[in-house]
Amino acid sequence: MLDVETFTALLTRAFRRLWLIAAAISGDRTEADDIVQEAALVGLRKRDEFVAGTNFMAWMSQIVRLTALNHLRKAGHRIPVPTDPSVLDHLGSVSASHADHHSGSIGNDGLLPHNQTDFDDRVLSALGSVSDVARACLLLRTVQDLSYAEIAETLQIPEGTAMSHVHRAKQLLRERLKGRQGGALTGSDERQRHE
Amino acid sequence: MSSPEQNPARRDLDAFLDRMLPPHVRENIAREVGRDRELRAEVELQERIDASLRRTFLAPAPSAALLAQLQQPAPPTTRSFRPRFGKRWFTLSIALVAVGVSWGTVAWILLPRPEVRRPAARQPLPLVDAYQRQVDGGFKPDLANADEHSFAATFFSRQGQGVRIRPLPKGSQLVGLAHINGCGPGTTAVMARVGGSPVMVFVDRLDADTHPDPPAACTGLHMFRREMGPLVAYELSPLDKPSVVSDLYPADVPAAPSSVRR
Repeated sequence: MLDVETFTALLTRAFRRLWLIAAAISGDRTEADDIVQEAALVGLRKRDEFVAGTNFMAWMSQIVRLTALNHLRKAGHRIPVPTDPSVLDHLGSVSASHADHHSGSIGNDGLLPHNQTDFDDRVLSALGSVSDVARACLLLRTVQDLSYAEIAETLQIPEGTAMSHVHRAKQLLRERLKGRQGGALTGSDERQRHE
Repeated sequence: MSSPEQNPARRDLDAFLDRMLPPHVRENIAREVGRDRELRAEVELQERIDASLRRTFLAPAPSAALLAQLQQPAPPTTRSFRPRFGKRWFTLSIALVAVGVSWGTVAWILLPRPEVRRPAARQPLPLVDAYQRQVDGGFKPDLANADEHSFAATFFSRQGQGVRIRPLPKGSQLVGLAHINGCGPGTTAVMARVGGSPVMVFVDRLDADTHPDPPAACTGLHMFRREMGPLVAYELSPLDKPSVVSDLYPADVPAAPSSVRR
């Protein structure tokens, strides 16, 4: 059985990946903090179920995913979305309500982060029409720079599926943002518009 | 627009954007991207999307509050109970448990109870953690190269009071402003490098001052507090004297540069 110190050390090492999985499912930074905190306490309580020598990251990520899904279920704003990459192309018709849920990352104070540009808003909104698993794959690849082998191990999916999710999610985001770019705004232009 | 079948660069675009191609193929496609305007736009859009995702989903380190919570003793879950003895003994033990539960219930009602331990409420993020997150994340501000107007306007919109900064002495460099979640109600932080060391000044409304604990000696950080009218500022620095907080002062928001004005 893991002792508390070992559990804490392993969790600290895995924290950023776990947080990204929570953020991918909830689509919200603040909610991701709460989810990982709750999942960490669940993991601590259930640490005698962890089999020594197996993958702690995969074990904890399963707990984070279940906790995140519970959060969404409780909040009552989860809608089923396909997880098969082959149907991601048809996701344009996913209801706007789900996309709206992901259209802003709201902080503790109820305000959008100051640095959140219009473009970031649109990316978040488009991200809402990608499945949970595809979002997790995309964020682990783009933000954490994980290899597909690492993503596959973390999320317990085949490597090819992880890659497929990332590529199709990127295509989908580009498709959705292409038409809404409104010309070639630069980052500084957006900031000025924001101000 | 050429189809993926006609144009190998378009066919391999996903792999190219994912840095999955061997160098010689990559070079070919990079050349093609340089020539083809549509492809270039696609690559630039993907780069913007990636940058946006990195900015929005910058993963934090675990908070000190969570680590402290994990260190509190919590019993592991108990395994499911299965009777392994005769039915009679089992019935008897159930009866004993029932009696015990009844007495326990009576005692619970009658005797004074110790305080129930509730899950810890969400605590404000310690400034040291917020500082460490920024340093771990590459010390990147949310607003870099802020002019006087946007610098003061950021504080005005978040703290209700504009703030300006005097030119920093030689060897010090203003990095920018960061929006810190979790420390207070919309804390704004000034980020600077002093002699190469990262220094942060956390600014909040004085009436929302949480009087944070000074950093532990093992962190090697120092904290300096200063009140500025309706605001309070805490400088967190590896240096043993304040170097930025004294250069901040409350002020009106200056007029926007002409390029920003509508």
